[in-house]
Amino acid sequence: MSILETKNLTYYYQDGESRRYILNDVDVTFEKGKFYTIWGQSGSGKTTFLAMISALDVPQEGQILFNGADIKQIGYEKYRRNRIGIIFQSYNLIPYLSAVENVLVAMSITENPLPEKEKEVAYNLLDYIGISRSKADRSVTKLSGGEQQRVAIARALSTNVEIILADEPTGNLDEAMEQEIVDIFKKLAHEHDKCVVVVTHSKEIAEQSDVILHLHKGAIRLYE
Amino acid sequence: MSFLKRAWLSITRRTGKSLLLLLIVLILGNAIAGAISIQQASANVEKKIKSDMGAAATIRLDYEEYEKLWQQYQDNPESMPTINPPTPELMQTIGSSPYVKYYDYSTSNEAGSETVEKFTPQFLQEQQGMGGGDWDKYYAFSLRGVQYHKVLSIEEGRLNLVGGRVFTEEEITQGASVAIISKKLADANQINLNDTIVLSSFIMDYENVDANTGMPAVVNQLDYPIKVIGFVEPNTAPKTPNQSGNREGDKYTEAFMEQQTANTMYLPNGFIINFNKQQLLASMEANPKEYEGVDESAFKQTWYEPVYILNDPGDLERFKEETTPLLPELYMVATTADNYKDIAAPVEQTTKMANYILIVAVIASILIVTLVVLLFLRDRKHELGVYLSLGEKKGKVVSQIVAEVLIIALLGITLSVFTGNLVASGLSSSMIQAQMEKEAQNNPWERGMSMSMNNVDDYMSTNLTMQDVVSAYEIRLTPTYILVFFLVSLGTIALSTLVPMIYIVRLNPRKILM
Ligand SMILES: Nc1ncnc2c1ncn2[C@@H]1O[C@H](COP(=O)(O)OP(=O)(O)O)[C@@H](O)[C@H]1O
Ligand SMILES: [Mg+2]
Repeated sequence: MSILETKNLTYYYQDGESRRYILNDVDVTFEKGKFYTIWGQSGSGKTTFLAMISALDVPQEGQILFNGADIKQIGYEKYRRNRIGIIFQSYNLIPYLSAVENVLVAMSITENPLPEKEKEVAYNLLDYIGISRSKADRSVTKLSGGEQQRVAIARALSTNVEIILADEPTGNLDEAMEQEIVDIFKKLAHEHDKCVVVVTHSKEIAEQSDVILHLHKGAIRLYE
Repeated sequence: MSFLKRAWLSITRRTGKSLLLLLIVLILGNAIAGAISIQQASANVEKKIKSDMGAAATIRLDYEEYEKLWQQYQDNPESMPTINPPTPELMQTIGSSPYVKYYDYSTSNEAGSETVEKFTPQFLQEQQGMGGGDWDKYYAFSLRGVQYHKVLSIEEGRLNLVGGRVFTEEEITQGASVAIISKKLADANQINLNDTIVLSSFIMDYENVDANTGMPAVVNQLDYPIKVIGFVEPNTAPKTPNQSGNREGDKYTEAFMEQQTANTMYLPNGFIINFNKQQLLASMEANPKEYEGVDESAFKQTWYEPVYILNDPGDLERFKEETTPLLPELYMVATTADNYKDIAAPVEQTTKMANYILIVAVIASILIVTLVVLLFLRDRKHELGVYLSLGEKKGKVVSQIVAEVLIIALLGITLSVFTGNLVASGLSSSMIQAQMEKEAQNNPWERGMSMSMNNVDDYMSTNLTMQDVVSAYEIRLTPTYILVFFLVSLGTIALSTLVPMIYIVRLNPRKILM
């Protein structure tokens, strides 16, 4: 049973009279419990695709269905706050807040039911992702890149969503750190039944995923 | 972590930026608060002084317009349009305005007497050569016409009726030979109530002047027996020590005023009109050359000076507005409030400056705060993008920013209420002082006590001086000031958040974050 599905997804830039298609009639389905990578060359449209399914941008044609419902109908804002967690290449944490406060921000925005002791939950979640309690109370600007990205992952997970979307999440990290983060994604898919979609240009990461969606010239080819 | 909590953390953890914004609000807030303090203080002074000045109005020739007309017809004065003074009917119509408490219009003249001696105060008697000789006899008394039988000055409390009675309505309509005179004059001449005194109109031949005295010969004398029906005394307010004249000049002024008041008699307008007419006819007879070719009817016009006492000094402006269109050409409404401009110049100059400061400060505040907030927001673009990517409603993101600005602004504004008021007291008193000195240079004569030479001046002139206005001027922390300041400054801040709001609404999180 698919949780997320794109139908005839089309995105182009108007270039004078002609259109430059970035995505052309893309149909893909995503399921829970699987780790997907969107793989392709730089400029192939990976980020564009992720922006569509994160509802941070809107396709010119086609639909994105969450559990069969068009996310346009759900409402983009509502979809973002209740259905997905997004992780960016450059972490995008709020600099004047501590790690745990960054997680709490997301928890206060979602309308999903959460356990009562939010702060405890946030600490535990951070701990599970590899941020100790003492680091959790630190301002995020005083954490390393790898640690910051862990906080971002905890933030994405904290709202109890089933879909985790990440755009080049290890692009700013060294290789050792990269592998640790990839392991977290694997664990989330396989042990926690999340649908994890990671955009990457790295062959090494793509090869570790359950499904590779190869993006090339506006079309997607599947490698399972 | 509600948006309000986020706002609070943002303020308290980004202290440098919060303090910078606070400083900006404080500086601009002080300028606005100072300007509003000055405005309020001068509005209060104006209200107080104008109410102290009373609520009287008159209708008079617009001297400036008349002067212009006169200039225009300088070369051919014959074709100058005749001036039609307001008729008694018009003055009555105006008197029926709802703003008018009571009114009177008055004609006047001077008379002499063979039997009643002009009152001269002790101080003037002691001075050498102050007497006017025979002139004093011929023109000893000011006759003031009365149309309002209860006598305006008595109703207004400027005169106390210390004996006898006021006029009856019949006496007024008939122009009866009855008079109310001053108690001082009565005492000096042993006149009792209901006594009859004789006033005389002395007709001179101006061709025939005595070489020694310089006096024209008296060729005719018209006598009018008049019954004295009442005595009045001026109701002088006790003078404060600094007002009472120590200087020689003030003593003269006071003595002249005393003399003038004591020698004024109140009679029905009708009597004075007849007195004037007989005097004119006799003069024409006595000086045929002077009046040659002059049509008698040209002098038939009676000139009245109306005085309207309004219920409330606050109505003066409206009364003026509503009455002016009814007036004949070249006539205008003058009110007691007109005097305010003369004595309030230093305060008004300062207020004008405060108005400019206010306008400039508000515009500058909007520009500066808008810019600073926008700059801060640009720095926080990623943060705002994160909220949006997390699915936060744009309204809440806007609310957080507005809350941050408002909390800091409110703090700055509240501090400015007090500091701005202090700044204004210091600044305005030195500004007023400077203006006073400037005024003194331009106009070395201190305005103040004016001699009242006719009925209208009694009501229209003021004893209040520039010094009175300046002493009444006081910067205070009034509720109105606080309210107006909060409204203006919060309005300014609200306007300053408009552009930043648009900036937030137009943010595209994909462009910022991906
Ligand atoms: N404003 C734009 N106008 C035209 N082309 C654009 C614009 N923005 C991005 N592109 C193009 O869209 C393509 C897809 O970009 P993107 O999705 O970021 O690729 P990727 O993430 O795979 O590197 C790129 O080739 C880029 O040049
Ligand atoms: Mg990309």
